Amino acid sequence: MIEISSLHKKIGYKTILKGINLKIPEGKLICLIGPNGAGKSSLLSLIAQLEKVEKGVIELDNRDIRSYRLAEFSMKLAYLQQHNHLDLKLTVAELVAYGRFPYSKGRLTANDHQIIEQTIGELNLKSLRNSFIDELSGGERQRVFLAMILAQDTPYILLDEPLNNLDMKHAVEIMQHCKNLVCTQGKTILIVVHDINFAANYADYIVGMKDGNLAFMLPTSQAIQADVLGKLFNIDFQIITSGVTVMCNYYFGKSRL
Amino acid sequence: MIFICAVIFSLKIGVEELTIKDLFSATSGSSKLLIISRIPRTLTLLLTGAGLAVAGVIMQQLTRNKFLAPSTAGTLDAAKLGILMGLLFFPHLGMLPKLGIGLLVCFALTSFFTFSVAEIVKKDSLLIPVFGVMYGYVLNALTTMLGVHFNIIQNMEGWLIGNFAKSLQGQYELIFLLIPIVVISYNYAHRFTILGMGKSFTLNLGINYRFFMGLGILLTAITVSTTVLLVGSIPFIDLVVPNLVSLFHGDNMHKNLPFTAVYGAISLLLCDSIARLIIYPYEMPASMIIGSLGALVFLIILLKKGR
Repeated sequence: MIEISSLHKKIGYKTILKGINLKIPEGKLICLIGPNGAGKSSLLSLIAQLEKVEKGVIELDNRDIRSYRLAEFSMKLAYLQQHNHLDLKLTVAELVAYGRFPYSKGRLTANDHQIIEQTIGELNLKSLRNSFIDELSGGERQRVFLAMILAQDTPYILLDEPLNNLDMKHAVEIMQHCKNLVCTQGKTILIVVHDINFAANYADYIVGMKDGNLAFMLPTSQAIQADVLGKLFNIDFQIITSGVTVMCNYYFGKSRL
Repeated sequence: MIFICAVIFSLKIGVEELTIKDLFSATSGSSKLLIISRIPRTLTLLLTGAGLAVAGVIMQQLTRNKFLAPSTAGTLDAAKLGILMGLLFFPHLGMLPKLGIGLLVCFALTSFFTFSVAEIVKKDSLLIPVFGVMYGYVLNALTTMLGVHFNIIQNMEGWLIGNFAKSLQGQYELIFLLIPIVVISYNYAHRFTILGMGKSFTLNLGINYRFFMGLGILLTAITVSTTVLLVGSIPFIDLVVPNLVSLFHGDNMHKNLPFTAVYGAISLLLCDSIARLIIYPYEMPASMIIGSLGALVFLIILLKKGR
């Protein structure tokens, strides 16, 4: 479980997070939504220790994250940030293999190789495995980064807009894969998504953030309501249900002040 | 194969005739020549070439910039300044303390550049080397100022231009310091590759970002100050060789570091051989040949990449 209490964050004079209190349950797929500048990415980078916690506490499995050793933490939690620029000539297989670094320290065991191959297969990267990453398209590269993070095989995974650059087929595949990891291996996955409909159809819980505050944390069925979403995004929503699929229609919504 | 030929060739050339047979069946005269001059020179060339190329690739990874190398980030100029200070203020001390001062100045000034200037202008990958070169000029100006002030400008020119003629027995042994540096670099090659992916990936994989940044700069600083002290400033090897290796072998340092070291050694050996033959029986400073050939190769790499 990740437990966040009265977390504040300032960048320069601007307050990005204004006292967040949040418990993220284990073994669930949780989507983080909210308008631009809500502090979603900042929250993720604080949990991942990319930035230092200055005020407030984040606990991972009942231990302050600052008390973990770096190597130990990297076996516990993996984090993919939003924008990744790699100007390196590495092959897909090499990059995915680096996901095993916390365990192998560069000397891959048979078990490491097996996990690497399995991840490459699951993300449909087999045909690309010997291509250099600087020759791939944006979407392909995004899947390679995801493969690297998944090969790290940690119980907690944080993904910041992983569906960026992906076409519909691949976006759906990634979400299904995440859902599958949660159901079969009990992983906890926290995803920032901009496409509300992915959150509506795949998440177990939805966390809404706005202006550095926590707006709500609700089971998906309670969060995907016209009034809840309307208040969060300041635009009118219409929720359409068809069989098991939920659609949030905001395309003709009137924006509110 | 090319490597062995280049080594034998380098041992062979010189004013005093040495046949290949002499290299192996040493008579007293030729063996003396070998031990005092030819072997030290060849070893210095090999280690300098390998060391600088490795330093270049580490610098590239740390700064995530293909155009940054000790010669374009002010490291080379910082080392010159430091060693000049060592020579001026502690002239009676031996090589090692001078190296120490050079190293200190070089490490401090390079860290300053990497952690401040390079961070500020990170947005544009072409702007950083421009800043680096400017930074180098500023340091160079300081060096010249010191030289003028103490009236040793003439003297300075002599030893700052990269030249291997002074690699003789008794004066070159410090170059062996580069062997452990290359070994350590190879040992941490995976970590340096990951550092090249940026801070987020590095921390995510549980690697201490600041520590390995510091270590990388330290390794580079040791290599550069040692070579400046012993042979003077060698341009371009540290910039061109890593780019060339990256073009053919990719950027996985664990895989390509041996190539980097060997290519660096061979290119320096060949450049030095040319420098010794071009106006035979006299010789030119090797750095001039490296400068002109290096610039040419670098242009070709740039054009090839741009396409």
